[in-house]
Amino acid sequence: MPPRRKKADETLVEMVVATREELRAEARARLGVTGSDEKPPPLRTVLREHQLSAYPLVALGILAIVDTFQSYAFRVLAPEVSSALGISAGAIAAVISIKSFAEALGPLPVAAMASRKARRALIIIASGIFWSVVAITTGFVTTVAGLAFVLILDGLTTSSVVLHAPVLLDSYAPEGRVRVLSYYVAFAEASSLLAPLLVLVFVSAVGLTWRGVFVALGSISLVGALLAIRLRDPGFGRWDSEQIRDTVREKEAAVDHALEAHALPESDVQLGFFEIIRRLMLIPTIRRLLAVQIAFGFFSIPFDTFLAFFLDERWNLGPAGRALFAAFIALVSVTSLALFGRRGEEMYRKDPGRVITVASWLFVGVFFVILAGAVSPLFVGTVFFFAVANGMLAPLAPSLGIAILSVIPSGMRPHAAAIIGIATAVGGFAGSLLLGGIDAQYGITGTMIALVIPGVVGALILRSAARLVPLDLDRMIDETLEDEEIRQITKTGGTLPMLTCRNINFSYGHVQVLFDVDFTVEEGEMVALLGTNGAGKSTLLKVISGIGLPFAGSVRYKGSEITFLDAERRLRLGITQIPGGRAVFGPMDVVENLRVFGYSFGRDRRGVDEAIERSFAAFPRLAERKDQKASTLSGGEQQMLGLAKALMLQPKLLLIDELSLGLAPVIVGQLLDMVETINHEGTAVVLVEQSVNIALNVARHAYFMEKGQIRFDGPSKSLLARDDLLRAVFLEGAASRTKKRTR
Amino acid sequence: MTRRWRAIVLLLALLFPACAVHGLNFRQDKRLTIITPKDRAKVRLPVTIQWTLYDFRITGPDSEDRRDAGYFGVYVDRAPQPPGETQVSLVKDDPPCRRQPSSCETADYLNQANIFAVTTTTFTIDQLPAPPTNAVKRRELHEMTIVFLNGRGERIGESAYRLQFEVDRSGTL
Repeated sequence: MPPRRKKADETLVEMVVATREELRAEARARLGVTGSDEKPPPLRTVLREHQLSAYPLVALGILAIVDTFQSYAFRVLAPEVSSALGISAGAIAAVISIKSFAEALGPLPVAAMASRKARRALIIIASGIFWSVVAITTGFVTTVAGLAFVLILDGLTTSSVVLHAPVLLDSYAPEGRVRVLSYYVAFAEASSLLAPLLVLVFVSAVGLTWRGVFVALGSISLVGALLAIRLRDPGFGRWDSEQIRDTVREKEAAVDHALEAHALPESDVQLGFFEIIRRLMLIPTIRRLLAVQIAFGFFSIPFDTFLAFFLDERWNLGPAGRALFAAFIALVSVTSLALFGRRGEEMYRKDPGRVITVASWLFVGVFFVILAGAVSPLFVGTVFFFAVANGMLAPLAPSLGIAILSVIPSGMRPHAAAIIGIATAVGGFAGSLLLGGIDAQYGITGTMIALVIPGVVGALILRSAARLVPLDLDRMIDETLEDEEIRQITKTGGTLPMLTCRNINFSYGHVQVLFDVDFTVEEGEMVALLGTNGAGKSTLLKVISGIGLPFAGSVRYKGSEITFLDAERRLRLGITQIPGGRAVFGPMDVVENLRVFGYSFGRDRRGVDEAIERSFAAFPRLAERKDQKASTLSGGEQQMLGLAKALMLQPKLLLIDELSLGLAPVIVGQLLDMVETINHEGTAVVLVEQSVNIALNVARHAYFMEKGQIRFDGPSKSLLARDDLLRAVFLEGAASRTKKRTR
Repeated sequence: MTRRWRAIVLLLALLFPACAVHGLNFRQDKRLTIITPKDRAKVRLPVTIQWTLYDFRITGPDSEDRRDAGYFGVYVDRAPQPPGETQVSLVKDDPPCRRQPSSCETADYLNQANIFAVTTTTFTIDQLPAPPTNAVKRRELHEMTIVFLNGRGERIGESAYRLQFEVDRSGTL
């Protein structure tokens, strides 16, 4: 490359990087991460400044209080229910297990319902009313089946609380988010204070039976749910993705929105439920914090049960005494959260990872304080240490919440909240089993001591997640910025390449094989993708066709992001891949193979028949062998059959992997003719080849890959002049030919 | 009718048969009060449980179906039968009872299953199975439940009176 040109290119790259850094810093600040030590303004000022109301926080907080009423009442009144209905303790335990199952799985359908439309508020209000009615109905149940039914319904409907945090994040400006989440968790903790006290009052002072308690608590819950009736969905990403987009919009000149034209309909590229879940699992922070949630569930879910047994065993506390104990430590949690809110906000503004670091230290500390409480010789000591432990544990929920929810786009937050719930339940289940065994062996005090182990493991994992949070926050910002930039280009009538892969990073397990790969295909273009063995060519095709998902980077098709779209949905968008090495089903005959290729036609049998005829017209040899098993075809015929898939589906982008591998030159020539015909009919083709001659003869644009990186991108003719690159292929090819001959 | 409404109707159809409105206790029934021992007290075996009555006559099994007269069902470490059922309903699915139902209708058989019928206001528990010697040492908590039975031996309503006590075996072999 001439030195002058190189300098100009470098300057351009530096400008792009600087602009990106500037945009990213601005977007980060808009998300509340200012990086400064400045104290955050009071929440009241934030609300006033943005003309926001405290209503969503209070309404959701009230719902978070009342959603636990039925569960709590059932937990403490189960013996009375058993005596009144004549149901054995085993049957009660069984229905509780079924309820736990419903609680664990309930968030999934809730997230699915909320994923397409911003109707979270409606789901929250409806489920709040429903669970209140269910709680009232519990007071009228007369059979074990009825009991199971109301408990399952309660488990399913109360799952809608997973939408609370995502709605809060969309309702409030980033400057106050940590405080809003902390206060919301304080409301939820207040349920542990209110529920025991209400049950005590209803049973002891009012003289109600368990039936009366359920009716009374259900009625209070109904009032709470009705208080939330004015809640409205704020829409997805009002305070984050939209804020990030604004940083780009403000940099661009005023754009006429009427010009906006997406090449692909939104519904074609909008991620479905499982695609979102899969996408979330590729985010390192989410993966790490889910492991923490499992450890947290391992500890926290059985802890309540074992604490009750511990207080009973060690201090002879009956149900009333335990209720007062629970209420007192909940009061400490509420106070702790109220104090944490502002401090947490400060830490988050400075560095989001700092919140996680502090939470990890608190998490570790909790277990040693619990240990002190478990071995305390005085009841006062037990109360003190458990109260302190609860106070230290309380900030963990808002800390994890802000870390998890801030690194993902708003529309995916209900899903994240759902998988957090499942991870916690899985941990709880495992913890109950393991700690149950420890309890049988070493008693209740031994169990309390054993809780230290998952606690320390969880804290270490949490500590390791601290450095990931800022990275993933930046990644989320970059993705949103890129999306907005693309939108701006399309809005102003700019054209985009048919396929754009940017900064693709992909790994098989821990082995990374693609490193920041950029790859572009224009409409109707024929592109050759060359490289040595193991360079990552086939992997790149997998990323484009959706068989492999990158852990970083984006794939855009006609301007729309399809990075995490299912392979079969990409097929419907017009992206087809012909895998390398005879991509046919050996035991099936030719026609059956073609029918399988045509599965995307659905029930359109005539369409499939026509497509098969089209293939036979193009490859008469296949027509002659139509009843023959694919495994008995020659190599060339099998490759023809593979190529027939492209003729059947008539894709817009065809990805061909190693077409010429092991075939005679005459056959390769015939196949290439067919590929050129397909290309001339308007299909863009990416041809992965090891044979440089073959690829460069048919393609004008070439990429060269080595060790997972793009080493060349330009006209094929220019690549032919790059001896330094091509030598590797030729030498490798020659070496492999020599080896074959020696054998 | 849309699918959503059909689902709601189905839900209610399933829910209502599992519920009732009549014969349910929403307020505590205070006709019986256990006076000794105190709830969660530490006791040594044999232990006598004593209670007082208000507005209920002890008539014993006289085949009458009244809500304010009859006798008591006592259950140790197990749940009583559902309202309206007799004590035999608790054991009817036991294998020997399936083979020969009449063999289970005896007081001896029921007592072996910790089910007792009492016509006085006291009940003595002579012995309870000791926890296995190799188990973790715990407080040995037991629970006793008393319900009203009518003259036909059927449980009257949902009222149940529970007592927890801890057995102290220190000094015993």
